[in-house]
Amino acid sequence: MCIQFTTLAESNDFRHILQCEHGTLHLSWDLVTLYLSASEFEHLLNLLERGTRLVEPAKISEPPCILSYKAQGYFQLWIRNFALNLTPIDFLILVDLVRVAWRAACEQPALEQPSVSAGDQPPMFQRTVAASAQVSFSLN
Amino acid sequence: MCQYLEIVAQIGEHQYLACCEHGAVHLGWYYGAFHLRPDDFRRVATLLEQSATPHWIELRGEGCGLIRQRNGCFQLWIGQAVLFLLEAELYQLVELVRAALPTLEQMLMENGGNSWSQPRLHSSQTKRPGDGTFSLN
Repeated sequence: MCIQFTTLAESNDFRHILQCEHGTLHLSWDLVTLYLSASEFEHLLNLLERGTRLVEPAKISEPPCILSYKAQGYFQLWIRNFALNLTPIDFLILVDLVRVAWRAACEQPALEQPSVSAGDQPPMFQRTVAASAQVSFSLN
Repeated sequence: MCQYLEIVAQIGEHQYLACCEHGAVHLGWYYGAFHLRPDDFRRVATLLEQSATPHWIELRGEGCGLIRQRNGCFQLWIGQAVLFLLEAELYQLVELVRAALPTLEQMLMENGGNSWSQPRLHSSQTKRPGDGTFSLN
């Protein structure tokens, strides 16, 4: 069980992303909390970024995540066996939350491998993010 | 998210029902967990109990639902979130809830019936380095 948490991003009391002492990222969205390793979280970020460019119904994936933009005008995000239905506004809030959390995670000192997804994950939080014109301030 | 979880019933380390210090019911299922108000949990429990009846495609409760897919798998809807379940997992979940319900009701009663506060951030959280200040270099 996780007992020590660091807040990486927070939208409100019910929507936030924390990192525990195992390095696992805890994504809380209203009634649900989902647990992801760092590499899975990066896949989630990549998927969400691709999702922001969807202009018509489509289904894209970055395992273990699948994102569908439905004809009814909402997004459905699957992370393994859990799914979240998101209005377009909530989708953008989630994208922003995940972006901020990833930046914060990259600033974290190296942590242990996550416990939830044991396996051949890459070393966590040891990469550096280069400052660029895309970023409003230096992440170095 | 809470500091104290009392496990009421569990199948394995990652499939459990628990009650936290806020009076919320936590349903953990592998890589995620629902955090439910007592009344919401009771509605889900009622819905799952109905799943034992034959010949249904979709069951609906207040704020929750259960859908049988064509491939024989299930989707449990709670609010805007969905949990995908294999048939065997649905049976496991039903049994888990059945096993936990009497104890949970007892705990919730001792906790003031329906008193509940939304679990917030972990109170044991630490600040990350540089929180609140960052370089504009």
